[in-house]
Amino acid sequence: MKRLIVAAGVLASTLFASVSFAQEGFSYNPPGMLVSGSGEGRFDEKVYVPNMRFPIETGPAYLNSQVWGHGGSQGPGGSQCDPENRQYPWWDNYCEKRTWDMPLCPAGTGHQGQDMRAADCEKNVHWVVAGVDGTITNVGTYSVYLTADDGTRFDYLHMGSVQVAVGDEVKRGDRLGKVSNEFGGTPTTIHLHFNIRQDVEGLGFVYVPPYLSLVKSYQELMSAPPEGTLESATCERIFGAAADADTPDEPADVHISVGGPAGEKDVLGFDVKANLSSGLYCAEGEETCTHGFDSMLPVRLLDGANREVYVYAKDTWGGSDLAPLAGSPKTVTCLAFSTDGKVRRKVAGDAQAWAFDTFFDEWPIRPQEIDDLPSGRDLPSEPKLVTSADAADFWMFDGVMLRSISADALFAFRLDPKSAAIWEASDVARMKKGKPWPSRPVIVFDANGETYLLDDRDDGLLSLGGNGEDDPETQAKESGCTCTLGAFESRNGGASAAAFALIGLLLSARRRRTNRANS
Amino acid sequence: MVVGEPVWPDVSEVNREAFSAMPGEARERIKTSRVPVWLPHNPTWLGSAKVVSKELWTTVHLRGDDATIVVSASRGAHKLAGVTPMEGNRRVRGKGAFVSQNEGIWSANWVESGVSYSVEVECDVPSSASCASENKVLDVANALVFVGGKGRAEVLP
Repeated sequence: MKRLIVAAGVLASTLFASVSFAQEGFSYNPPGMLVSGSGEGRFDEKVYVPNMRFPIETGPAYLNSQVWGHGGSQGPGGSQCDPENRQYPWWDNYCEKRTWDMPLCPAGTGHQGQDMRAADCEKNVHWVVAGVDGTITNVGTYSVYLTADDGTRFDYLHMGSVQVAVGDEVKRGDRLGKVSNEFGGTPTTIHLHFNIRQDVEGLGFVYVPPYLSLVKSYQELMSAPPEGTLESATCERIFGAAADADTPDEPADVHISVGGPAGEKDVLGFDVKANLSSGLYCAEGEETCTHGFDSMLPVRLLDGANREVYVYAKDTWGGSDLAPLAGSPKTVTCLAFSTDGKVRRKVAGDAQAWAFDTFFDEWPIRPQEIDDLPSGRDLPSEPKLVTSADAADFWMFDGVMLRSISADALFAFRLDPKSAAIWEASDVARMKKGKPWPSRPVIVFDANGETYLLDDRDDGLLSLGGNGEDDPETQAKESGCTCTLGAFESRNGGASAAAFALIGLLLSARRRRTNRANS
Repeated sequence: MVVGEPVWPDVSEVNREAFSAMPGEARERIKTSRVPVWLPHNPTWLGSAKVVSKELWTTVHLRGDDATIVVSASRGAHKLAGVTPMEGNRRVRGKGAFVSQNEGIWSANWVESGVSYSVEVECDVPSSASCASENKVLDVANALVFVGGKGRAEVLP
């Protein structure tokens, strides 16, 4: 098998799902959906300023039209303070009907930004804050402009109690003024009108859609931090559970940092999903749920050194915020891995079925050192598992013999116990037996990119010769067994349930995850 | 981000009278501008000039008789997928310009010599005659004079 290429996974975005916060019930209509009759919006998935801070210091806040809402000239009547103006879902009102130029609006004209209301109808109470680091470039009668170094400009209109002056350098989150109704002497409704303006190639200065930047920043503002527990960190396993109350039905993203806190120099970081069976962080009334995670150390870290293992949960709506898990960090000291007593076994054919993983399994070694290792039989082209009808033991075929494989090794080899063929115990007993499989796979690549498994030395491996492609079924039948190796094939299917149930319990929390990357 | 290199007017085109009308601090900042700066030739307005100049952009804030005027210039454009290049249907300095009114604040935006420009006029009273139409912002934009920038105004006092 040629060298494996392992790509880091990409977290799926759920941006347009109807989002509900556990404690707030926040939801929003899609971008571009305007109040009926108020014009044609722009459906735009782009978050123009992903790192923006929400403009109002504290929530809740409500995005909807001043003109088409209660108290507006085109609205359903009533007062601007009508409670319906302060309800979810949010409404986009970028591109709402206006007569002036707006090149990015479907009509070519429209409203430049987004209207938003603070938690209540009081003016000069709720602070407006800077979205990013930048410079104040205008303070007008009822406007404040903040411009970032990249030229993106944020317009805050109708504020009272303005705290800044032209030329002030401000930081993200600094107070600028308060939500009010300033409009050059004739008050408008109490709201903040917010624009984002950019220099766009081919157009020049234009107002870009602010809605999804506001959605994202609001989620970050209102989100609850994730929680979790690191139950154990050993040389074999790193496991625990984590959940985010903002998205309780989705697996939390867990970040593991080995060698120091996340983000520090020379630490190794990788991500896993908390999507395994666990009894922690379940909803009331649930004994088990799927907030568990289970991982392992990359084999290249098995060098005898002490290492701190830091584990965090990522805040789903909190950007890159990482929340340390309870019990983190833990210290692990692992015996150094050695090639002494190992044989190299070439992986025969297209061995994708082995599902080795270069990030976790590759041992760094020079190609010439590989040549110095004793050579064993080729590894079969795919793993074949066997279990017996009346026990929970597992074996994996190795050419002509069975070798037992532990529950930990099943996990480390990424094998699904449900794929095991089920034999009578007497058939298993008749088979030739070898040394147990190693507790985890360790692979190396030679100069040609060929993959080798470093296996424990066993005379059987060396003396039997061959290319590893001996048909195990034939071998088994020659020994008197009438069994087959097809998954789920069994002469005693009813008896298999108990074995699988037991193994299922042992291994249910031992699935491998995706999404890992060096940090 | 697409960072352009502006086409600069010759140093001889700097309007020395307008340049001199600005406060010293504003003049010093104009000298660092990476984009050519064009401003209204109104000594009263220029006397209030506050300049912010960064690597990619320069903004000048002016106080008029009954309005606030902001002139912006940028050489760093964001790329936006699916955008068809176009000009607005008004004319500013011989270029197509977009004219917009944002909560009573008039703006004219155009691209000239590789730089995106805007002029904005915020009347103290939005309902005043000055802001009743787009005429004022177009008048201001069409009467701008060159006051310099990095490499064009250092020699000036």
